[in-house]
Amino acid sequence: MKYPKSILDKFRPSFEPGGKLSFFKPIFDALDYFLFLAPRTTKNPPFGRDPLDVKRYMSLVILGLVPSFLAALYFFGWRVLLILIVSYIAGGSVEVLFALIRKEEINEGFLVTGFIYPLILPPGIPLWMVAVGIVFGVFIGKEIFGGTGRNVFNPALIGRLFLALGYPAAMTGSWVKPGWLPWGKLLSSFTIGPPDAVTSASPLVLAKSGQFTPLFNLFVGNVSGSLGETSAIAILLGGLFLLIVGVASYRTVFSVLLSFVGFNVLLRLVAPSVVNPVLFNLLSGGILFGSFFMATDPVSSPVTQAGKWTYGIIIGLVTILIRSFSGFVEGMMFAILFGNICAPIIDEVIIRTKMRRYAREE
Amino acid sequence: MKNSVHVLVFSGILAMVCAILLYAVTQFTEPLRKINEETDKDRNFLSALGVPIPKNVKPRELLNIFEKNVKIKKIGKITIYEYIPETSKSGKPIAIAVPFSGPGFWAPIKGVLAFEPDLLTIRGIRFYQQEETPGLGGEIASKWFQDEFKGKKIVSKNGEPGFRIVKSGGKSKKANDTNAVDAITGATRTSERVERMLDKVAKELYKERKNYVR
Amino acid sequence: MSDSAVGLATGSGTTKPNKKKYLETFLGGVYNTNPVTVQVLGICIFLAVTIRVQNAIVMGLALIVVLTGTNLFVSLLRAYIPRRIRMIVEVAIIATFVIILDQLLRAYYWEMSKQLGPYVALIITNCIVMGRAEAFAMQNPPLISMVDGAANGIGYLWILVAVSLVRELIGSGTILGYTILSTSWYERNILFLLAPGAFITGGLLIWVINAINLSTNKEDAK
Repeated sequence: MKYPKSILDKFRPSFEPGGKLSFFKPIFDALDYFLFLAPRTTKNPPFGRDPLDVKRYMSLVILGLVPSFLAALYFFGWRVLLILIVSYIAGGSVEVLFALIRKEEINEGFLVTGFIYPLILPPGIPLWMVAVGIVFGVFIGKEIFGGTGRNVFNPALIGRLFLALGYPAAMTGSWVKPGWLPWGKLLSSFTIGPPDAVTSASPLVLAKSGQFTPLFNLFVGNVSGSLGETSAIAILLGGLFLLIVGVASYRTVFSVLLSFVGFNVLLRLVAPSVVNPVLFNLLSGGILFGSFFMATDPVSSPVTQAGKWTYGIIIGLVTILIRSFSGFVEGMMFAILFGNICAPIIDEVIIRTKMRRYAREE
Repeated sequence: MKNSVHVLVFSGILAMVCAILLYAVTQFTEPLRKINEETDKDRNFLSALGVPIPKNVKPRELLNIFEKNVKIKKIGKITIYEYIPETSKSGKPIAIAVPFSGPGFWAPIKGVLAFEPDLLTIRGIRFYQQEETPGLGGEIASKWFQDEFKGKKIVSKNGEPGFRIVKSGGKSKKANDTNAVDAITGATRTSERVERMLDKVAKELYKERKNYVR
Repeated sequence: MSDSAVGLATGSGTTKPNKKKYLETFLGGVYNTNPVTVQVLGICIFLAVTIRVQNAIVMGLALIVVLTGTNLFVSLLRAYIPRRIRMIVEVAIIATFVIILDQLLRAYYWEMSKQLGPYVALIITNCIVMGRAEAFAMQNPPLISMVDGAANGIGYLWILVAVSLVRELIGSGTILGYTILSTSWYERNILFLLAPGAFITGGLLIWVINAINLSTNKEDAK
């Protein structure tokens, strides 16, 4: 590994301040860092007090997402890979552009955003729409707030929200029937062409008209839905891994799920005709995926422990309310974004109450 | 004390002046406003019935056309508007309009359905009052949606009265019954509500129809 | 109102404004202290009417008329308006103006009035009108108050038009009702027809304007 390193070192001066190519320094650094792991400390939050730096943190999250990604690949075919590539290229360009303008390092944060985002999209979505969504998500959801670590909202969700509200017809018409044993859709080509374009309503849409998909199918994942959210077992595999290594906060995950289940039970007692059964609700839609991978985003969720519980309870409640009583069949996206808005206020309130208590004790 | 008198006198005069001004303007514009509001409904009825309306028609002329060509009748509880051209000798209607209304997604929707003389086949539809989401539910006011209704009937193939707005799932599930049109994608709620009011008017009309068509 | 009122009002006002003050007032309303991009006022109407360019133009023009008119009358009466009830007086004048305008639109431009819905009547609550009356017309002679009113109206108009151009183009693929982006290949973005579309477009516009101001200020400093 010495040889390539010496090549990089040869070009280093021209990227240093004053050099000809100093504008492109962030790209050079990223390459250097990616290939040779130059020992450096993080300059931007989130800061960690343990060996878990941003980079390792991000790679662990991606590792946790791998089961869901593989499930998506199996059920919906190779097009998933295409969507992922588009997401990385389009969103990455915005990220690099802003790093150049700000003269900052290119942040690894985008690796996760660009990986989660395809998993919350419907399988049949046009590729240009994938690009538009992630560009909007990274630009409006993250960069204008100051970049990684300063975003109020989860950028991937902002991207999806933009598509869901901007192109509702295309988004609701892009559900695809999943493949099944033995090879899923692995043998199909990259396109979801006319022969495959049987749009099929997602379980939550069907539930509105009283058709409940069997729980086994929801658990395994051979149902229609967003790419990564259909297979409950894959999500649980990856999610539990994140809980064990301590990357995802168990407080957030449990509070979201407990509040969702709790309010579901309560509301079903009050209005059994409009509220779906608990297990069905828990296994369908984005509630599992959202609680493990999206609500736990350390930047857009509260910092305090009590804050995390409050935040999770809000998300669970809002989700079940939207699912049961609104025109939308799925509420996870709105609920997490709503939680994101509340997060800073929750922290503020909790920290102040604590400070007041300390002051009184002294 | 002097101050209070000033306040009283000033506000008195100001209120008087404003009141007189407002009164004068409302009085002056009233006939014009009234005719605008009336012709607004008539214009939609005429256009649904297929009555030729000259371009840039003055409101008063429009009322005139309406009075000359349209006869209002009642069959059962339903008010119908018959289009009998003033030049027609037979005096038989060539189209019949039936108004309908109901709750929309944001605000009440009002519209009119025009039928062929058989009172079964739809000739046209107009929504003259709606505040649905622009671009989504608001599409009910657009030409492509209203064109879907042309030639549809208020009975299904099997002879059942009613009307459906079908959620089209891709190309395979297009509305193909005689009494169904495709819904607006992304505007499920508006479509549902419009379906409900059309279904109601279709069923009621079908019941009263025997007393009308001989 | 009467001639004596004009004479008295100008006489009791501050020193006669010169040409430079007129220009400053005008530029202030149109750009430097623009009601939308700098003061962020009148946003409710801004959200509603910028769906279509045509609506934006009519609303902008209506606001120019109302602002100029109310500023004139408030300024003329400023020497007589008792301080304690000045807000109520301002509202009364504004309301009278707006109702008259609304009635005229209903009588002569029915289609337009129908499209603008309740928003013409809601000009009464538009903070810009009240703001200009209170902040400017109460302290300045009639002529320059009219300039201030018109300038703020123009400032509102051009922002409305700029934002509505973006929203109508992206949301409906049309401009002033003429198809620019054909739906045969262009997918309309509904979000731009909803309120968030106005917030996003307006926010980006404010960003651009601030960025321009910042860079020109830097150059001035040099």
